[in-house]
Parts: sequence; structure tokens; C-alpha cells
Amino acid sequence: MNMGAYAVYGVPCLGAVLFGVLSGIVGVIVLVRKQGLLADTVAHAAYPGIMVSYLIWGHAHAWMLVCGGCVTSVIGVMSTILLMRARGMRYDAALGTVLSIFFSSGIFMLSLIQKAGMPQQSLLHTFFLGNMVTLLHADLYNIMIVGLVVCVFMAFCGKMLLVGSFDAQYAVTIGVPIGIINTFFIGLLIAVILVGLQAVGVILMSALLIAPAAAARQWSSHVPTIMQIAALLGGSIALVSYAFMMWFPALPTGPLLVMCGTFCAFYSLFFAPHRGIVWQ
Amino acid sequence: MELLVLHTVCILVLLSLCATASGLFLFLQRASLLTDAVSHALILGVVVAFMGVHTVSSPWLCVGAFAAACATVFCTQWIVSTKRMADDVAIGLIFTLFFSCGVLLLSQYAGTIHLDTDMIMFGEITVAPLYRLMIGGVDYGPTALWLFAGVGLLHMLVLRYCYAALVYALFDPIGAHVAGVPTGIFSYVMVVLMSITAVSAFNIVGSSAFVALAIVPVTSAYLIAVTMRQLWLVSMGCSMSIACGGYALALWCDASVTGAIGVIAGLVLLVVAFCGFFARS
Repeated sequence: MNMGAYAVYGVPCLGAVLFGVLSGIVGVIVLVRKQGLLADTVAHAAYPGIMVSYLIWGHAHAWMLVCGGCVTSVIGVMSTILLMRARGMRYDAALGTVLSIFFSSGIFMLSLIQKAGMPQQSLLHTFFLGNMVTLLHADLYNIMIVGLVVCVFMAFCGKMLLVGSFDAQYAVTIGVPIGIINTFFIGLLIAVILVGLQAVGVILMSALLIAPAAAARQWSSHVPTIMQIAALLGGSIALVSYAFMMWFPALPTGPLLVMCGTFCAFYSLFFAPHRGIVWQ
Repeated sequence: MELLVLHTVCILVLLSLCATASGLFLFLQRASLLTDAVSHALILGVVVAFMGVHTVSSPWLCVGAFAAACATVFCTQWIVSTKRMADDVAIGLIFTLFFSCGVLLLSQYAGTIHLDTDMIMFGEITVAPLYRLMIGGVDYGPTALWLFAGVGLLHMLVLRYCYAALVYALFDPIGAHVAGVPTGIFSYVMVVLMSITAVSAFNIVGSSAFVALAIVPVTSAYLIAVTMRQLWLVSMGCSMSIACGGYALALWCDASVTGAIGVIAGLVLLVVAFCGFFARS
């Protein structure tokens, strides 16, 4: 394969598969900690940040948009935590509030941008439903860096993170700094979601995190094994969706990924050995 | 021109009151995010119904949307009942699956018809007052206004006849069950009411503004209200100010009404939170 073909087909494909693997690994922890809806909120909260940085810097530098999204995601998570401090506020209501306010504000800014007729708007639309083909070398490096950080974190703090996720009280008594580790994990979750936002889209990001992990959970009850299966499934889902995109270029990426992911999850729900519904 | 603006404001206010009323009970049932799930999933019903009838303005689209909304709730509850996935995972999988199916089917028609993802996500408030209810050649005002008057009446009827039992079932489920209140049916009634409201609202303000109108006023009110009565009054007040303020902001900036409603919802939440904070300290 020559270099031109690599840049056009190889880079997006490699980026998508790497991101699939990454989302599978992180998704297992998200599932264990019951933070799937938090991931949804983080993805939606990034939307206005992307629009604001586009309004400020004009030209669509991908990494500036991602930085803007990162800022509003952090603000979103912090306002969720603040809302939860209010007496008896439900977790899901706090998340729904932040999600709908941030996402609608993003739509408001998008309509202002469309009215002003600024250039290179098509990139903004890819953040809505995602497009794998728009991944460039820079995005590939971002995914690799975040993936490396995730691997290092899992290698050194993975056990402590899991202990804290399953039994927080016990973790405190054996001296695990769960406050620091939880904060660091949410930071990582935000980073993972943001590097993949352009490929998967705001609305369906949480599904790509949840689906491989939910499928893998049906095949094993041992967390490291679940993580390996989820990583494999995440990568294959991305690869299969990429192949579909090559055949039918008009199809939006996010929905394709989600269809493949939920197919895996439902197949596992019915046919996984021991736990599958069919075997009982 | 002024009459059109007046009609739009009336439609928005009625819509927001209905959305908040249905959101309030879901909030107390800890199921606020069902509004988000249902309003995304109904796109599948709309697209499938469209493939059957091939017109955008058919009532079958609403029937399809309602069927998709109910299917979301039933599928989610079925998966949770198998005890193999947690409820948040089940919701997250089902509504994104329905939404993706709808978007993929819709992409087959890209550019050839007047039905796209933007229309379903963001609604078309500007044309809502232009569809008039004509009976025997007489113009009775916008159809949407009558639609939401009907939905509002339905809410009032349900609340008028079930309110005491509903509140009993929410705050003391075991006691209510022992006293013979059909608690299971009530939770379905509230979900169906919310689905009806979501289906009526999606082509006017879109799903994201519907979620904002259903959840944010109630969370804001919950920050300061102590009794159920206060919760109702404050959330209804917030809801109306979000609808009116959002429309005013959209007119002023010439921006999307859906987006402006979200911006004003954030402002209202901030104002109420500050009021609550200073009232307590």
C-alpha cells in the first residue's frame, strides 16, 4: 500500500479500531461503577465547548475544538456534583438537567454560527452523529496518547480502582485514596470521550462505551477477562463499521457503530454460555 | 405578524406546562432520563411510519412515534427483568439502538424528502402556527394549540382523579400497595402521559428542548420547594418563564428556539439555585 492510500484509508481505520479497543477497556470500568449516564452527560456537555472555541478561533483546528469541549465537560461534571449536593437530589435528574442544558446551549451556538456563515462548518456537523473518515494523523496520535495513559493507569491503579468501585468502605479502611483515584478516572473518561467525539458523535458516544462492556459481561464474571473480551469486541465493532462505511459511504458512522455494538450485546444476552437466556 | 408571535408563545407555554407536569412525576419516580430516552427513540417510529404513508403531515407519524416510545419502555423493563443488565445500561442500549435504526433508515432518503434528523431533533416552531385547524371552511386557530390544549386537559383529568393515590404511591409504595392502590399501573400511566407529550412536542421544539422543559423546571423547583404544592407552583412558574424567555431570546438573536430554551433553562436554574442558597444562609 502506498503512502497516499495509507493516509486516506489506513489512518481513519487504525484510529477507529484503536478507539474501539480503548472504549471497550474504559467501558468495563464505567459499567462496574454504573457511570454510563455520566458518560452520556460528559459527551453532551462537550458540545457547547466545541461551538464556543469555533466561535472564538474561527478556523476549525481539531485540537482547539477538543480543548474547548474538554473545558465545558469538566464544568458539566462539576455542576452535576454541585447539584447532587442539594438535599436529596436524584442522580439521574442532576445528570438530565446538565445534559439537556449544555446540549441545547450548543445547538443555540450552532444556529448563531450558521447564521454568521462561518467557513468550514461541515466539521462541526461531524460532531453530531460522528464520521470516522474525518480522522487525521493528529487524531490518531491523540487516541494513542490517551490510550497509553489509560494503560499505565490501569496497570498501576487498576486494582485500587476496582476495589473502590465494588466496595468503597472497604477500600477506605485498607487505605486506598479513592477520592484521588475516582477524580483521576473521571478525568480519563473525559479524555477518552473527547478524542473519539469526532468519530462517534455526541449523541451515541455513551452507547459505544456501554455496548462492548455489556456484551463482554455476559461471557465472563472475571473483570480482567471481561476487559480483554470488551477490548476485542470494541476493536472488531469499529473494524466492521469501517468496512460498512467503505461500501456505503452515505451512512453516518455513529449509528453504524451503535448497531454493531447493540447486536453484539443482544447476541451475548441471548446466546452467551451459562448466562444466556436461551440456555435457561 | 403579531398574531403569529402570540400564537407561537401560546403554543410554547402550553407545551412547556404539559412537559413539566409529566416530567414532575417521572422525577419523583427517579426516572427523569426516560424523557431523554423516549424522545430520542421516537425517531424510529416516525421514520417507519413515514415509509408506510409517504407524507410528512400524516397523523400516522405520531402513532408510529407513540408505538416506538412504548416499545422503548417495555424493552428496557424486559431486559432489566432478566437480571442480566442494570437499568441504566438497558436504557442506554435500547434508546440508542432505536435512534440509530431511525437515523440509518432516514439516511436512505437523504436530500430527497422533507424529513431529516435536524427536523426531528430541533423541531420546526416557525411553521407550527401556520398549520390551522379548519372545520367546514372556518379557521379555528393553529392545530398545535388545540393539540396541547387536549394534552393539557388529559394531564388535568389524570391528576384530578388520581392525584392523592399517585402521591401516596410515590412516597409510601408499600403502604399504598397494602391499601389497595394499583402502584404498578400508575407508573405506566405516567410514562404513557409523558410519551404522549413527547410525541406531540417533537415536531415543534425537538427532542432536546423537550427534555430541557421536562427536567430542568422540576430540578430547579426541587432546590427550593418544601411541599408538593410549592414544587408544583415553582416548577410551573419556571417552565413558563423558560418557554417565554427562550422564545424572546431566539427572536432577539434570530437563533434556534430549541437552543435558546436550553440557554434560558440554564439561567433559570442558576437564578433559583442562588435564591435558595441566600434564603438558607
